[in-house]
Amino acid sequence: MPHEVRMPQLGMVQDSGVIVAWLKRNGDSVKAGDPIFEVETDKATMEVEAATDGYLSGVKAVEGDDVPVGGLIAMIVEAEGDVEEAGTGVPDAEPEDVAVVEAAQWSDPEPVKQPISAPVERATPKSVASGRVLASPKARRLASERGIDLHLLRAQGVSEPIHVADLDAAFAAGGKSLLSAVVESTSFDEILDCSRTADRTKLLALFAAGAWRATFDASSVSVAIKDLDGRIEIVANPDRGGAGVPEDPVLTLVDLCGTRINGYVPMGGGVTLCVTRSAAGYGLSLAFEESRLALSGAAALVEDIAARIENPLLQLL
Amino acid sequence: MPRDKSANSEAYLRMYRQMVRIRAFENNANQLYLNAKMPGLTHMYTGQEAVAVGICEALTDEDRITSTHRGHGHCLAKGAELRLMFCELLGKEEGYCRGKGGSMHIADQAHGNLGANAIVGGSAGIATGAALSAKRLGRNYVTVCFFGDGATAQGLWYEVMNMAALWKLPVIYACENNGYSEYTPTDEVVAGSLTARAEAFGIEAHQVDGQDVLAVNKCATELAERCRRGEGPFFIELETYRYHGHHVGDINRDYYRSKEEEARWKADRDPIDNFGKWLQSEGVAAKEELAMIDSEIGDEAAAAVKYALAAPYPDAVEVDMHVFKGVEHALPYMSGERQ
Amino acid sequence: MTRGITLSQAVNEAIAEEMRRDETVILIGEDVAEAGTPFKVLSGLVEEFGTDRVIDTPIAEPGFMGIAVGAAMTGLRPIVDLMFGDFLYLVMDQLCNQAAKTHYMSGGKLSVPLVLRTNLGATRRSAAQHSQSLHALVAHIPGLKVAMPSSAYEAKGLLKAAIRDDNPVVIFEDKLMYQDKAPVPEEEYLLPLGEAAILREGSEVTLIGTSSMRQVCERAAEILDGDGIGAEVIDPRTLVPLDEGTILGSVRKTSRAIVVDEGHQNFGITAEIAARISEKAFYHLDAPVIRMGAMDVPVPFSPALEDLTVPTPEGVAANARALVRGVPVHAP
Repeated sequence: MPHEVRMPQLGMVQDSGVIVAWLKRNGDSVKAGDPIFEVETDKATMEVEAATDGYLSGVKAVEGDDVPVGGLIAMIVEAEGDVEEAGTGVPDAEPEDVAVVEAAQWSDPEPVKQPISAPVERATPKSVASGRVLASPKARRLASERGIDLHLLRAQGVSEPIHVADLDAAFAAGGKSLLSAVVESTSFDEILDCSRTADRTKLLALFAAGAWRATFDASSVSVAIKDLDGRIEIVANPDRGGAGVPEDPVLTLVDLCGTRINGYVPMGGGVTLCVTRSAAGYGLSLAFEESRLALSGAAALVEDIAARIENPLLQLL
Repeated sequence: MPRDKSANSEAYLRMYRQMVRIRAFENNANQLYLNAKMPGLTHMYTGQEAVAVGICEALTDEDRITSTHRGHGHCLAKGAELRLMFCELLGKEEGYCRGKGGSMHIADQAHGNLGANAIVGGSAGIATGAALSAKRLGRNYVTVCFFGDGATAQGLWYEVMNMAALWKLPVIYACENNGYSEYTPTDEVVAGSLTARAEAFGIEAHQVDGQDVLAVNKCATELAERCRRGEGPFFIELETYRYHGHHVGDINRDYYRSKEEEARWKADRDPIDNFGKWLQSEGVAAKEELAMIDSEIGDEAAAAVKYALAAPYPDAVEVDMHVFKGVEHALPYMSGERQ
Repeated sequence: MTRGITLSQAVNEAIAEEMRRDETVILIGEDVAEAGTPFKVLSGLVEEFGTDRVIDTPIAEPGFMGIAVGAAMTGLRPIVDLMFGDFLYLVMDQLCNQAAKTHYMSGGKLSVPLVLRTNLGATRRSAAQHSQSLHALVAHIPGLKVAMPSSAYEAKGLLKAAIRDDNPVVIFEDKLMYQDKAPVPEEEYLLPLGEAAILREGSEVTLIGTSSMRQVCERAAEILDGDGIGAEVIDPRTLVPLDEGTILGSVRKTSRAIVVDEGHQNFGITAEIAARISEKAFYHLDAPVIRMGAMDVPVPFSPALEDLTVPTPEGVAANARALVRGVPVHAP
């Protein structure tokens, strides 16, 4: 049986060896124990001995070749007649035979349990104004589930790190913010006077819906109209002739123009728009939770509604 | 031929076969390693065969041994099979330890082998404990603790020899003095005499030519019998020689021993050659018969290598098995999952 | 029926009961026979079981540890007595390289059913080499089980379970608790390894305390009651295996956890348990998990210094209060 001569594993940390000198030539007769070539590794130069008697055959490497451990270098054949000619080129290790190289060769690399997941690095763009809000993992999870923006909580003066208790406090009654505006114009009165059929409250709902749609780029906008008897009517897309099915209202409109009452902040959540009438014109007040509606958005909304009341024709035409 | 002579012949030939089997195993293991077909590292027993065979042929399957990092010879001499040994060396599922131990940890409980040990001198306590069990449980087995001259520098041995002597335990400490403690000549690391060290504990000590399988066997047989009669413990220093370096790949060893010295041991004191010649001179076997044994065992070893190379690796699911007895998978268990 | 017995008596009873039940159980160690150990835990056993089974050894920890490993591999079930936990360093090779790995390295063929009984705990004015709590060293090694009894009740139930276990189990008794009494059933019982105990329920913070730190946590919980803070106290009882389910379930409920242990804090048991909570209950945490281990200095001799190194009920309560009130323990 022909015997393979491979680059031996000589040290504990050796990947390859350089053939320094051949001590036997292709076709030479060798005896077990005869040095056949010299190898230089990271440590030293040493002789590699023939493992069996026979003839050196099919030598694949020349002096100076750096041969990977396990690489086939030559054969030792039993009969002189079997000797093959020397080849050329640096031989590669033959992976199907070599067990020392890759762990994957003898075990299925698929992790069975306790996989160590590599942390996924995400480039999180820093929020321009604010940076990261410090919050407990649970507070962060609950804020996300409840749709609370932790930046807004911080803006309201909640101190960091934010805990679950801070979220709960923000939900309690004291969490309302109020924005108010005055429209010193009577243009809206003229429209109402001109048309007998015009309903002030419905027109206000139309303005509010249009402003919401424009401010927040919303596709469907339902508005709840609440009176002082507590009755609530939900109108779908009042700025589009009431098309569509009423959904959860984005805001509640309370029209107080016919009364002397000049403000109303309801209990509970949600956005409430109150419209009042004074000698000078109209008063707007928007009650909202900054945890749900950012101050900037609320302000833009109030500005837009005010502009529509100031110049109603633009909206109606 | 008289009856006992025939019985002896059988025993002699068995010793010869066992030594040849170890030699063949090691030659194949060496080639597997050099050809990068074997993962890890291994230490060759070649040259020391008469020690393992001479002692283990004096023992029964009931008797225990503990072995060393240079342990293939002990394991085979105690009855292990070539195929399962090669499978273990190659990390295969069918190996003695399901591929979890490798060259330095082969254990074969069925034949009383409590395992090789990769800590030099690490098994001295285990062997002494096995002897304590024998005494405490009233079993009649003997334990042999194999270790090298290098291990005599470890403190553990002295602690357990002290207790073995105090408690008269049936244990034989068998020191294979192969002349080299890893890459250092033994006389540079051993002060005084090894036998005197055992004698200091009141332990009877013997020195035997470890290249003479019959001398080793005779001594071991006598001491094992005396152990069974409660006369233990004993110490034997066996002078022997390792043909290879400390481990395969320790080829460039001129700095600690000469090629001439190696050649002299191989030419004059080879345990297999010399025993073969003796068998011929005594008329136990003809040269041809011995050659036939060599060739049969050579074929058996080659077939075992072929078998092991083709054998499957253990399934990945086994990686956390056998951590705890009685626990299927250790990882969920350690997190509190009820089994 | 229960009666109050000391931890020392509980250990003695556990060993005696198991030695009566199983002939293969032996005791081995320094001065375990007539002396009954310096803590007198084993007094009386040699009279009942004789010197064949209660074996005094020379002062040679690696030697008798190694002998116990070999005896365990061949049919005996040794209980090894290591006089002080600090001597673990002496037996590390036999315990960690031999006992812990034998079953695995042999592919499940050999096993090492032994118990290593030793102790932990500072404030006995014994200085740095007789006061350490080194359970983290062995809990780190796969193949070893580790039990940490926190009273006489646990000491008996866990030790009996450990003796019957087919694997090496290291059990750490707090040497300051040997004379502490607790109610222990007269009937036989075992405490399975890997089951934690919830000793007190509470909804605002979970205090996890091992060994005598369980008592520290219980006293902290009483202090917190006065502040109107409900603390839940958990004793893991064993570190390997660790009953994660009970710990994580509690932390998911309370959102806050403090882990208290007498081993050094750095790279220790508190770190390990805190890490598992952080990994597996992260989204339920409303505060960082706080580790409270022994101070990372060698244990000093002077009482004035030694007392500073071990967690106290007041310290645990202060940290718990801070967590519940949302005051960061460490600056964010």
